[in-house]
Amino acid sequence: MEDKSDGDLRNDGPVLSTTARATLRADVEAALVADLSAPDVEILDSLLFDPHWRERLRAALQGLAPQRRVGVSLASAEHAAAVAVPLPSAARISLDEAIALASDAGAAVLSALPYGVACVDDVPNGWCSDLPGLGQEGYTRLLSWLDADAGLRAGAVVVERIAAASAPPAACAAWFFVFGAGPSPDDHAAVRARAARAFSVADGWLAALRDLCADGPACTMLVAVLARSAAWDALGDPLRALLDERTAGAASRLASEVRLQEREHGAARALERADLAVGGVDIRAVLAAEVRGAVRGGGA
Amino acid sequence: MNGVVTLTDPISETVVGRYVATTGATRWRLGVPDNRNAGVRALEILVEPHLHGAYIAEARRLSAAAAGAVAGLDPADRAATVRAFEANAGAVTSLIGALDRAHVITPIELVVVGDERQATTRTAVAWARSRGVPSVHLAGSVPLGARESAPMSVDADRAIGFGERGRRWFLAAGVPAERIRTRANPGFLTLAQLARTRETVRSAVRAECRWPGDAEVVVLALHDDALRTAALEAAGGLRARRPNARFALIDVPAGQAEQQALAQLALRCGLTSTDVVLVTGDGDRVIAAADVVISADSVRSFQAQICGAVTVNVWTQASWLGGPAFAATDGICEVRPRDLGPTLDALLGAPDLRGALVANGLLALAAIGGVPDEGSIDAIVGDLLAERRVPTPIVVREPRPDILMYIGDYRHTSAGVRVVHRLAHLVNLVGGDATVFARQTHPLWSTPRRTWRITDRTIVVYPEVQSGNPMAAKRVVRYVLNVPGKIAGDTRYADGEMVFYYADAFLAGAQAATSELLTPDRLLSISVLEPDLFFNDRSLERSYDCVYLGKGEHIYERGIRPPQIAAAFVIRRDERNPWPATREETATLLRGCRRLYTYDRHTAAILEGLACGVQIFFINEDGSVEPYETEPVDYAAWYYDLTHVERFYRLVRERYPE
Repeated sequence: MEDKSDGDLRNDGPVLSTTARATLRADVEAALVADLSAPDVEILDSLLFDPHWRERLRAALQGLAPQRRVGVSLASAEHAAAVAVPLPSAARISLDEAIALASDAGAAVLSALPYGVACVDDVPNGWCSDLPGLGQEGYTRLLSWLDADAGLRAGAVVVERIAAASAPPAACAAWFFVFGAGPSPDDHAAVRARAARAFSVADGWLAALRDLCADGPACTMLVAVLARSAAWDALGDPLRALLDERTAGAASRLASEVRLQEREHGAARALERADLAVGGVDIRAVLAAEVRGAVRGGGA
Repeated sequence: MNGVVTLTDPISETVVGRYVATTGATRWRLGVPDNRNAGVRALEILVEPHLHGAYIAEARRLSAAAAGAVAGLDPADRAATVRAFEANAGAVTSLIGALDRAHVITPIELVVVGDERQATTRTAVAWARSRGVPSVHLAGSVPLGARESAPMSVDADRAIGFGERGRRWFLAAGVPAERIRTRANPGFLTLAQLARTRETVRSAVRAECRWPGDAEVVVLALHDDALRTAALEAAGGLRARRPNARFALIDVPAGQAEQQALAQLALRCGLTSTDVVLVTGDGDRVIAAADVVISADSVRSFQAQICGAVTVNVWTQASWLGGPAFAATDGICEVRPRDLGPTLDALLGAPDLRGALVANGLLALAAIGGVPDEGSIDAIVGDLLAERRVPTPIVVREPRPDILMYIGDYRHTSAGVRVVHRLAHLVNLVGGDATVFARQTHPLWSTPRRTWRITDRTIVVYPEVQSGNPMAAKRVVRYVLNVPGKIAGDTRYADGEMVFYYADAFLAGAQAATSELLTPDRLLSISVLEPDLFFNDRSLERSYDCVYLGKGEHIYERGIRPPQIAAAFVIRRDERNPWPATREETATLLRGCRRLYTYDRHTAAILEGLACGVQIFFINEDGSVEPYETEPVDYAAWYYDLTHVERFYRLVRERYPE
């Protein structure tokens, strides 16, 4: 597994977490490191839940000195548009809007890095926060142990890599932007290109997974998230077998359970179009639960 | 707040389908709920299994609709779904019917459910929504793992949970924040009381267990055999290192065999009988006396925190795969089974660490409802009712007589049958408890079916065509719908039998059949003229005449046919081959009819024709024709008038008091 100690990137502090950095391609990360290695870097780390974040950001970007950089983490508007679940209100912006905001202030976006597919909790991910069988509450509880358990954190890095490797930027809950003096000579074409292919191809993640598949929270974390996500299907048979072996078959059972629940929900959704009423009482909701149970008990 | 229906789990699970031998009918029993001080009355809904049959047709229609709705599913899923409907549709439809009946008798002001996983509880909530009755989902426990919430959805108007954790659980289930209220967990409040006297409780428990006064008390609240073994092994090692350590296993099964097995296990782990006690029954006091409590994904962890003990949750891979029961911020130590020994060593050897952990745990307790909340359950429910502006006059019902209408299947071709079925419906509408002795009933009327079972108190209503007293009832009512004995039945009724008559035309015949003086208040005129079918449509051109044979068919068959009816449509109410075939067709025919000639002077067809604005003519046995003159009648008002039914119900209750 690649060594990415906290010292690799200066000044990113709590904003761009270890798990987020783990998803980046080497060249994208190199660009980020270069950006954040400037002599004068400021991280605006309290912007995410500030109702006046836009004004504060604009003020920070006006009149930037050539060597000064401003880093900020914001919720992704592209992600909010792509997911169907309500997300907590936060400072939310799209790449286009960020570029426009920077241009208005006479600055430019130097780096725009999507992050947060599975294992970030400061900016909830709409896709992962409602994993079947785990739910928002269970997911939040799982993530709460990240800070308390180093092994779990390491496992989260691997999960993040696996999940991000095949995901589009809209799968990410957040952006990490680095702003500098503008304007951008190429209308940010290079920034957009790096953002579109920001994720690493996860070199070495299989070996890392083997290392983590021991009896411990990290392994459980892997299984708990992977088995509930689309990433499970992308795992090869050897890897699934490995996870199963280390969890006494629980991983496959859990994945099967998740697929079963998806079928149950699908069956229940079919009822929504039906006219099911008794004496004027709409009983679709009543019978939806019965359908779910029926699929579990007698379905294929 | 009055007249609340509770359908909590234990009730709903057993209520639908419970057999009530003493009543033989749908019954509602007033219960006494826990919150009696608030003046709340609970209502249980009891539905006899055989009454499900009354809803079979509806259940079949439902199943068919459901099968169509899931036609696009995988064949196996579709088949399973259809089976599920067939299994539950009867209960669902009968519960809706029962709730509707209960609502007529005692206005239901609130539906309370403790769970929405069961078809019955979900039905109650759906019913409440459709009838404008508020509903509440009252959580009964602290949610722990995701397994408890995954398949759950909450449809009730208001969700009441324990503390912030309960609120988050409902939020995760998709309940909007404005519909959620929180309350304290009553069980936790009891423990909080114990915690206030913790030192006293600790001394008492140590003394009861014959432990030293400075014993370090470790409580094992574990149910899984493997985890119990791991914990006892850790305890055995700890006992060797810490002479004052003592152990209590709580939630121990009451069976002797299980207890002996546990005792032997403890011995094998190096513990003596003085080191460890087995506690059956309430373990709250022991928890309040503990220094450390070990459990696995159990609400015992929160209870221990309330009591001021350090809490250890045994971490298992399986439990985490379902989502951890506790968050890192809950102040609960997560420990692998193999690490229990060193962890206990560390905790018991460091009082300051224990103090810090307890303090941390207490900070987290606010999230689980151990602290003051948004008010009592009564206050929350009261707010909901006030918000919904539900009228809440208390309705105190006296005992209701059990009335059975001895009548055949409902059919539209017999006015008498329809009158008696409607009488049952109206009696129920005015608060009575009437059933019919029939297989087929009117689909829209409240006429529960009844079997042979009656009691000495059952009042049986016989139409005049019924001979004798086939139900051997002690309380008999005769309803004279024609001259007694003219069509069928007896011409003389037994003394003591109560007699009502349908119209003044039958008073003389009814009086002749009974020794009791029939006063005008025995007139029981029930309209079966549906106002939405039989009305005078002045927009129609009346271009034809009709002739009704009825009970005068023999005259017609003798060839007595005046020239006026030569071109008339002949209306026949033959049981097997009626024409017109339905009530709707009859009404359509009569609305366009100019004159109705009838050989039958005592037929509902006359009233149906009058309601449709038709001129009525009688055909006598000699072939003469005479017009029928009568005062205008508001047939719609008559149909909905309850005066006669209320009087009937009052007189019957006076004659046959409960």
